[in-house]
Formats: sequence, C-alpha cells, structure tokens
Amino acid sequence: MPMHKFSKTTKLYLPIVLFIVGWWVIAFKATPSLVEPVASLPTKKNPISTPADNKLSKLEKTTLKQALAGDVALMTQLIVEWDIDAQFLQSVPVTGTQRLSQAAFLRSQEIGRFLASSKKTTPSGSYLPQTYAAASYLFALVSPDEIVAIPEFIRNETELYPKELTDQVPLNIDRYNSEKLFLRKPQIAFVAHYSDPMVVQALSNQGILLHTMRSPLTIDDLTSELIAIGEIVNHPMEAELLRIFIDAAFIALDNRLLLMASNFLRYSESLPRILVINHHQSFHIPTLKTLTGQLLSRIPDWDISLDYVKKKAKEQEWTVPIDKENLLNLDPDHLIIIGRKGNDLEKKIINDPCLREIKAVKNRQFYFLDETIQHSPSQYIVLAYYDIIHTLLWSR
Amino acid sequence: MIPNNNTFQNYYLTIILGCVLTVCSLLTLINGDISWDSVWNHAYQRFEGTDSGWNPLLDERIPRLIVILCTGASLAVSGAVMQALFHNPLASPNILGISCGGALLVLAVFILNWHLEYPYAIPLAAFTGSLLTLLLVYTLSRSEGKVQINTLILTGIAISSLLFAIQAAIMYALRDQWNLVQTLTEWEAGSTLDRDWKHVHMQLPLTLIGLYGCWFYHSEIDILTLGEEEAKNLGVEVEKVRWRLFLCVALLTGGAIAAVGIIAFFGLVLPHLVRRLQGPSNHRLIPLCILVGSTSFACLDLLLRLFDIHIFSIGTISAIFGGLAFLILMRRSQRLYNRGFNVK
Repeated sequence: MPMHKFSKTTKLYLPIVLFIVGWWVIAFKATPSLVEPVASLPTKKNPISTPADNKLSKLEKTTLKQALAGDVALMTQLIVEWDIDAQFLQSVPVTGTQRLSQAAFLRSQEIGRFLASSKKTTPSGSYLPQTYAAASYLFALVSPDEIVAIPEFIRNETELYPKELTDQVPLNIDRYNSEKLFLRKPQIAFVAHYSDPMVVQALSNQGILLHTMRSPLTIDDLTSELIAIGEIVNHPMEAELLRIFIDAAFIALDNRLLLMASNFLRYSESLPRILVINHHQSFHIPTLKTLTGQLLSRIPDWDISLDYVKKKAKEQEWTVPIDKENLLNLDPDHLIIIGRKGNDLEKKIINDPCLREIKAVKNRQFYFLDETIQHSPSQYIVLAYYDIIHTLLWSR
Repeated sequence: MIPNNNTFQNYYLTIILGCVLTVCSLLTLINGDISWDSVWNHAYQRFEGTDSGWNPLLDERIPRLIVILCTGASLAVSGAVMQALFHNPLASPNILGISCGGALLVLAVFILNWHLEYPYAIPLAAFTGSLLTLLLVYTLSRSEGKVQINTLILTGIAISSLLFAIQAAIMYALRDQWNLVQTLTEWEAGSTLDRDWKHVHMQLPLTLIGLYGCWFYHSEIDILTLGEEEAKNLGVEVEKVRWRLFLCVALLTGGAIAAVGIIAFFGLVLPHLVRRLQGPSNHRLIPLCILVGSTSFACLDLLLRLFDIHIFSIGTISAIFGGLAFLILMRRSQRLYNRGFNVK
C-alpha cells in the first residue's frame, strides 16, 4: 500500500519537477561569451602622463594617496611640481590651464618649511572619531596613538587605510565598548547629526566634549570640516596644508585633462562622451547632489551623465535609475561603472545582449571603479577624481 | 437560463478590465526612450533575419510585460487561495511565512554573490525557501497526524516572525557593508527595471504550474470554505488538497519573489476586493483575480514609468496603495457592521 502511494505521488510530482527543471536547464544553459573579456581596470601604477607630455611631472596614484595620508614633505613637493606643470602648459599654450593662487601656493610652502623645521611633539591628545570622515582626517593629522577607536568597517578598507595603521588603534566603535572607551579617556568625540542620540548622550554624560560634524554633501563641506577638525586637535597648519593640497590636486588633474582634450582634438572632431553609473542591483546615474556628480561637473565637455539627469529633470534626486534601453540610447564612448569590483559583474556586462551593443562595451572602453574610493567622503575624494580621469587616459 | 445581475456585472467587469489591460500592455510596449519607429524597424528586420542585435521591444519590453502580468496574477491568486483555505480575509502568502522564507534564501544568494554567476540561483532559492518554510510550518503544526487550521496559522506567524528576525539579524551584521546593504535594499523594494527573458524563464514555469494547480482545485477550494468536516463529508481529501494548494502558492510566491522582489499587500487586498465584487465562488474568483492582479500591477508599473517617478519602487507603491485600500475596506466594513448590515 505505501509503495502504491509512493508511485502515485511520484507520478504526479515527477512530471512537474521535470517540467520546471527542464525549462530552467534549457533556459539557463551556459552560453559562450560573444565578446572577449576585457582587461578590467587600467593598471593602478600607470601614471597619468602621455608620451608626448614628458615635460609634465609624474602623477601616480600611490604618491597621491601617500600625500593625502598626511605626508607634509610630499604635499609641499607635489604642489611645487604641479605649479611648474601649470606654467609649462600655459606656455604651450593649453587654453584654460589653472594655477593655484599665489597666496595659497606661498602659504603651502611656508607651512611645509615651518613643519619641517619644528620639533616633533609627543602625542598627547585622545580623540574618538565616530564618523568615517573624522577618522580619515584624524589619521592624516594626528598620530594613530591619539585615536582611541575607529568605526570597524574602516579596518576593511585596507586600500586607503593600511592594516599597519589601523592596527595601532586599539578599539572599534561598538555599542558594547562604551566602558572601554571611557577608560581610554577621550577628550573629544567627533559625532554626526545622524549618530545614535543615545550614544551621543552617553558620551556627553561621560564628560567627553562633542563636535558635531557637518554633513559631507559637497567638496567644500569636506575641506571646511577638515579645517575645523585641524583646529580642534591643535594641528591647524597640517589641516590647512592638506586643504591647499586637495585644491592643488584637483587643479593638477584638471590641467592634465585639458592637455588630454587638446591631444584628442588633434586626431578627432570631438571628445569622447563618458557616462558614469553606479551599479548595485540595477544601474543608477549620480546627480549633482552626490560627490561623484560634483566631480563629473568638473568635466562637462566629456561627461553626459549630468546631461541625462538634467534632461530627466531629476536634479533633486541623489541618483537616477537608468535601464538598459536608455543606456543603449545614450550609447556612450566610455562607460565607467562604480560598484563592487569582481569578474562576475564584468561577465554580466559582456554577456548581456543589450549592454554589449553599447559602443563603449563593443570597443572595450568600459571600466569598473571601486566604490570605496568613489564614495569616500574624505580627503580621498581626490583619488576618486584621479580614477575617473585615469580611465580616460587609458582609453587613448 | 436568464443571466442574473451578478453575471452581467462580471461580464462588464471582465470587459473593462480586459480593455484596461490591453491599453496598459500596449503602452508598456510602446513607451520608451528609443523611438517606436526605430524599435519596430529593428524588430521587423530581426524577423526577416537581417538584424540580430538587441531590440528593446523583443528583448526588454515584452519580457518585462510578461513578468509584470505573471507577478500580478500570481500574487492575487495566491492571496485568494490562502484566504479561502484559512477562511480568513486577512490571510496572504505572508501568513505562513512563505514570502519570508523565499526572501531569506534569496538574500543568502545575494550575500554569497551567486546571482551573477548562476542566474537560476534566485528562482531556485525563492522557491526552495518558500517550500522549506511551508514544510516546516506544516510539520510543526501536525499533531496526531492531523493539521488544525488554527495551529497552522499560529505556527505560520511564529515561523514568519522568526525568519523576519533572522533577516533583520543578517542585515544588522552586514550594516558596515553598505554596498551590499544597498543591493539588498533595492531588491527588497521590488523592481521591474531591466527585466529580460532570464526573468521570464525564472518565473513562468512556476507561475504556469501554480495557476493551473489553483484552477484545477477551484471546486475543492469552494467546498473547503464550508469547513473541514463538511468538505470531508462531501468527499474532499482535505489534507491532500490543502497541501497541494499550499505547494501551488509556494510556486506562485517563489516565482514572483524571484522575478520582481518582495511585493507586499497585493496578495491581501486584491482577492478581498474581487470577492466583494463578484462573490466567493472560486470558479469565477480565480480567473478574475488573474485579470485584476495583472491589470493593476501593469497599471502601477506604467504609471511609475510614464511619470518617471523614481522615489517609489513598484514594491513600495504597491504596499502604499494596498495598505490604504485595505484601511478603506476595513473602515467601510466597520461602518456597515455598525449599521447592522450583513457584510459579504
């Protein structure tokens, strides 16, 4: 009887299971890629310079990163080199070349010389950065010994914050660590308006001074908060130099892009059109409200992302979703995808019947940028701009 | 036989819904940033064999429409079946934790990053999660070889809460991986963006079998609404039929979760509304739920696209409309009850 029942059940369910599994096997069987895999990211070590532009100084990402991490000597040196580059470009002439203002340039050198000659003081502060930006600035301005704890996820971002650096900070900011944090006696905690009110209250009850950071909505917000933190932790000169360096780095990158544009226009009638999109579950275009959007606003002759946002009248949103049909309709020459890095996404794009029709994908002019850097609300926003421009250089 | 008022009402309702669905479907196929002329020309060339490139109509708009129709129909029918089986107008696939189970396994697929490498992992996870939850609820509520409906509901609510808590714990543990959290949030909000044939293949076999199963047992569902004892007396194998219907609901819900994400309230409100319009007979209720579900889901998606509304996803807007509709229905029932009318 049970055997009979089993056979009856099998007769009913087996065809159904076979129908579904069969459908999926036929539908999802591996299809060979029609496009050869692209070399994913340009080699990071490749400097932004071109054979014809040997007179310009080398601009490597590692050097830039080292300077942004608070290397005073390197910052002052690079500011000088970039000023010379700008003078060279003006003499060519490359129209639109910018230079750091004379006052800012001189001030950077003055600070550099002063800090080089002044005696190193023993670390005496004790700070608690509750936000990403505060931790990032503090790593650049003070000794890691003076930082009591950091948000845990910063330890995973080893590309920006090496393990040797973060290992010097003993604690993570954790809701169960409040007594351990109290024992370390932080003088000032850097909190944000979105911090948990209970945590903020607890810190205040422990007698720790609080500094509420401004939302990092614009690059100006980032630099003004940098100055504020510099003054609070008694390193105002280092903060001022870093701010001047950030300005100088943006100008240097803009100048290289101008040179790149003039080189492009020698060989073709127009500049390639680049589209920058975020990828999570679907594709989104960043608007001017995001830091990426603000970086793109520096390259209006190349970028079509913000034009799309404007056309859709969606400037008030943070990102605008875009479907594959619209991506194909825009048909950019260069496609920059900001997301989680990995070959799977690359495969998805190459094998997608719609996306592989896009000019940028056909011509292997699509690049993946790591969102850790692209969305970093800190001094490392300069590296985000470097990466975007780097993809354009690679395309040559 | 002289048709009664209800038949006429059904007839007109079906015609009106059919017209609305046709208009919505046509607009879904026509609306897009690439001009219709260009789309049509390329589609025609592809039929002639002179163009093999990607075509918005054939490769995006048609599959998207199929996914939308399948999802609307699946959710409405699964809700109708659950409400009939539980004799409770508040029942929906959520009540047995079916949606939560499916969503939890899909979440795992996203976390392990399998969704890009193995596209079938999502429907498989959604259906397996739904089915496993169903099995668990069924096993736990079985006592002395029988399953009491009240125990089943309570077990379902308990398992559903547990699964929801596990999901919340995972999200909390991953809170620092904001890129992954963003992916999961986008998926959970439900979306019909960039649906292609892959999504149709994920969903359609599950939907076809699920809908057929529900329709096949429509007479038994009608009898089951009279109560278990009456159904047994009338010769219905209650346990067997109920189990098979639950399987169908798991197929329908799993398919919808796999293709679109989590859509709340749809399975709760629509069957309730349709039952009010045309009565409780599942012979008419199930086909009408298919029509109403597909039409309303297609309308919502079209509205979001035509007015370029990005602030809401199809999941969030469905939940808002569904929640409001449910509140209105409840208030209306309360008023009628207070006036002493019998509420259907």
